[in-house]
Amino acid sequence: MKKCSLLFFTLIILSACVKDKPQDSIQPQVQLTTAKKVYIINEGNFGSANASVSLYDVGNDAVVDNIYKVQNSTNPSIGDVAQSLSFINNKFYLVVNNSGKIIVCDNQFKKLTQITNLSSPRYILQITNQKAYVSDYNANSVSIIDLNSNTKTGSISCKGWTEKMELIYNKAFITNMNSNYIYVVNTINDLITDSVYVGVNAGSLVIDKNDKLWVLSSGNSINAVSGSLTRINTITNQIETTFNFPANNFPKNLCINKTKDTLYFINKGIYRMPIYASAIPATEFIAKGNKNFYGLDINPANSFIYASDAIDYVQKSNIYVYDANGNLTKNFKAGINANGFYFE
Amino acid sequence: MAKIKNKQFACGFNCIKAFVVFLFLLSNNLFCQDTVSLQKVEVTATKIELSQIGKKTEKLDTIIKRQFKFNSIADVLSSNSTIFIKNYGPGSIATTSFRGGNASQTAVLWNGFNIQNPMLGQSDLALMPCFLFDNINLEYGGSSHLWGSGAVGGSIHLNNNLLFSKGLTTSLSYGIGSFGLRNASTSLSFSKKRFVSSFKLYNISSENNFLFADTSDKIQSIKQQKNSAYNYAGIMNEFKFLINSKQIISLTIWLNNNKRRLPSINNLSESKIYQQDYSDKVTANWSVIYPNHKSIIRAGYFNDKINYTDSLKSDFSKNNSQTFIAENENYFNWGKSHQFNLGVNYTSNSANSNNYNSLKNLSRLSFLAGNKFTFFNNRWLTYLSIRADYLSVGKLPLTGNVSTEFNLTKKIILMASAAKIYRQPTLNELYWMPGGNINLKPEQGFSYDGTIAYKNQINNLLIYISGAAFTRQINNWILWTSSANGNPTPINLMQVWSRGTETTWRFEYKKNKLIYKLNFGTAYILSTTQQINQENNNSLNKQLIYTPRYSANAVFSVTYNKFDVCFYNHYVGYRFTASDNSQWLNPYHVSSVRLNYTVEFKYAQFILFSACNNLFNTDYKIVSGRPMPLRNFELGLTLQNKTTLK
Repeated sequence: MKKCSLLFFTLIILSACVKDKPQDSIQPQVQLTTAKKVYIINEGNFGSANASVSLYDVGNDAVVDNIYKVQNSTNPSIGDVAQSLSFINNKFYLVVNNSGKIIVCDNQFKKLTQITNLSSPRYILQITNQKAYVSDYNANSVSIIDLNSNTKTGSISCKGWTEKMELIYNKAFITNMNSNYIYVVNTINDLITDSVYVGVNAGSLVIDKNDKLWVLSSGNSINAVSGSLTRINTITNQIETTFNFPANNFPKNLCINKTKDTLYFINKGIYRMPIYASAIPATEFIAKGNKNFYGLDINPANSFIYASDAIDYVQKSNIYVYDANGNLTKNFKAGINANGFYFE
Repeated sequence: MAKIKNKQFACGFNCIKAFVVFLFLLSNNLFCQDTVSLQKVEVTATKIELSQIGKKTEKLDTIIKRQFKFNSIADVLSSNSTIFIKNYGPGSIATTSFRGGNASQTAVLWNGFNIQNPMLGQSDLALMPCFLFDNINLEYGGSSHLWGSGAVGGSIHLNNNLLFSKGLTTSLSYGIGSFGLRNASTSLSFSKKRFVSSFKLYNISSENNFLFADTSDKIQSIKQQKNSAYNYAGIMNEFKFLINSKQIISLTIWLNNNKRRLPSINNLSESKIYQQDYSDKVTANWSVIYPNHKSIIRAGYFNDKINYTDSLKSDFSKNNSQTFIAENENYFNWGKSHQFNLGVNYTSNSANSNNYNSLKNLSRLSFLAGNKFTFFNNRWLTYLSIRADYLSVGKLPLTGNVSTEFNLTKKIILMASAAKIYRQPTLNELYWMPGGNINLKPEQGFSYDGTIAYKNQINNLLIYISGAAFTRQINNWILWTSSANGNPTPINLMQVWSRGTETTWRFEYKKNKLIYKLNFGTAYILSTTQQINQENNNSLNKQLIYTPRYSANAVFSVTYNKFDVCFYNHYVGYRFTASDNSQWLNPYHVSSVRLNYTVEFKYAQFILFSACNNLFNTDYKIVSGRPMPLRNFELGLTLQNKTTLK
């Protein structure tokens, strides 16, 4: 009996057979071409400090997993939740939401400095060569940044979660996820001059070729308020048209093509809508399938549609590239929770 | 522990006093079982005993309990078991992963009451000081049929054990440690023939500005944690009264107020996060005991508050939840030694938060029927049960269990159990704004396990070896996403298969005043996604995040007279942090040494305690972005006095 039990225990111990050490994915040496690059912003997971920026070289169809880490090997961590990336005055501004900072890099992605004293920054909008605005999740204000010294110099009080922004005619239009309004700021004196009712959870906006502002309100699933799309005259700040989505539609990520005549957004699937359309398209342009579309943008170089699929939010995202007709041309992996793109 | 148990039972047959003790034991779920009790002679079982039939269980040794007196349940379990304690750093939240499950799939039971926070579906083990509890037991495997929702991977039992006729015991402790750790506690226990009361008070605080290694920073690799101070304080008051030879009533109150500052991720930015966890727990118990019948009526009321403040982000979150539990259990003996049990449980949870749109309620009514069969003069025990639950929101599955254990020889025991298990969605999963999903179905599945144990005494050497294997499949596994943007929603995303093997090795050698003990445990657990309803999802067939495949722990102790020294080491293998297993945290070995020295005087004893944690200065992280301290120390003194009462 003793032998029997000894055998049993030996078997139990030997049964441990899966090798524990995971295979390190070896980053292939990427020889970058001169073609224009696509930068993919990967939020990472909230609280995990695993944000990254992927670089997709269209020229040789290669992906660099974490360009920031490659270029900043002495201190390779971006921080917690990379929210957005902008290119201003030949520098990259990488907004790191939950670390409360903006990392400023040269055009090769080598870190130059960082802007601190921010609460929970989301997006940066260049106003002039010297000045930028930064929206914020929690600060109840929009920060004013001096682009020469890369420091925060002031703020514009705006209660709630400010999100994406657009600039036209010395006015900054600022979305606010917590109020039902977008706010209009006079960029000369940094004062809020007006607000426009656009509905709940308005987070994205674009300006079309006729200088009209389009604002997408996502609605609210808990209170069963559907989303809406609003066109605003940027001179008068008056609403020209509002398109209401059918029940249980909660659209997000409004973007526009290079010629500024076609809108795109995510509403489970991806929708395309000409700016002169009389109604919201009834059918999706690119079907959702089992994907979890999370980020969307249009490459101005060729009007290709870049969409990220966050899958379960805790693994590497899939990036789908569709041609202008919506045919899938490419599919590759970026970092965790890819939420947006910067096209060189 | 075996020694204590024998002592209790030896005197149990001597006098009336012991009879009282025996009755008391019966009424309070306190059969001090060893891991595998070869003799379960007690006919009048309780739920804890029933849940342990056919299952692997572990009980913390008294030496270990003494050595971790100043520490939390999270600390003692991470050093002394193979279950994974997901600890966000000293003082921060600590939850469990039991047999490949997550924190909401572990039941934390205090004297048989489930004390998980109903909003989160989990308990923070960092807020529970060891010294409050007389017994700390681990039960491996699912037992939703007895403990309801959440008892999927395993259960942690924290029990209080008040004994009658023990006289007056007073104790005063003070401990200090690295990074401003201060720990004061006192206890007073007044125990007469028919009445016993106990009072415990504690206050634990620390600056907690520990040093940690940051290998990613090539310039400054040793850093100091910031904004991580904490202060935990509480009282526990227990009363027990023997009304007559057939009835016992008891009342227990546990109030605690825990304040802590929470550091930023990897200490990268300034943090002003402050969290207060406040909790009132009151339970009452009335037991009626006849020779062939026993009934228990119990009730519990728990009020939990979690206030989270991040002034830098203007984030002020207030969460308040109440749980009310009323329960009746009845046990009837029949035949020669069989026992039928019938129970009903009503649990009501209500909660309010700034993230709910109104006060939310969940109530559950459960009926349980079971029978314990005892054959061959207690050599073979079998427990069969069935449970029906009715939830106010959605349906819960019918659950049940078959478990059995058989003493093959005097040295070998075989155990097996099969159970249907479930976890109901938590209040946050249902109602959190934004994202809560009212249409969630409960997680449910089947769990099977088998254990073989060998116990033998060869001269002065006591040997105990056990091996266990389990398999468990859970459908409708709920996944809470962790994205910063958008509105993540919990969904019944996948099917998960967890399986694995565990071994336990214990050797105890006694010679004169010397006792050597070696405890060694291993766990090998695969917990993989079997089905997922998303295309291009690379998590299929991959190990779940924060579920180590390999873990092991070893404790070597030497006791000489009044002196104990223990060496602890635990190992945790790779933990993936991405569901496609593309990111992970490295394995670690962490060791510590703890010493206790008791000086006896006529009326009192002094117990000196010291510890060195992270002996080899290991740089490790249990959770991504949450550094753990390098080498640190603790020192403490307890003054204890016992007086016989007339």
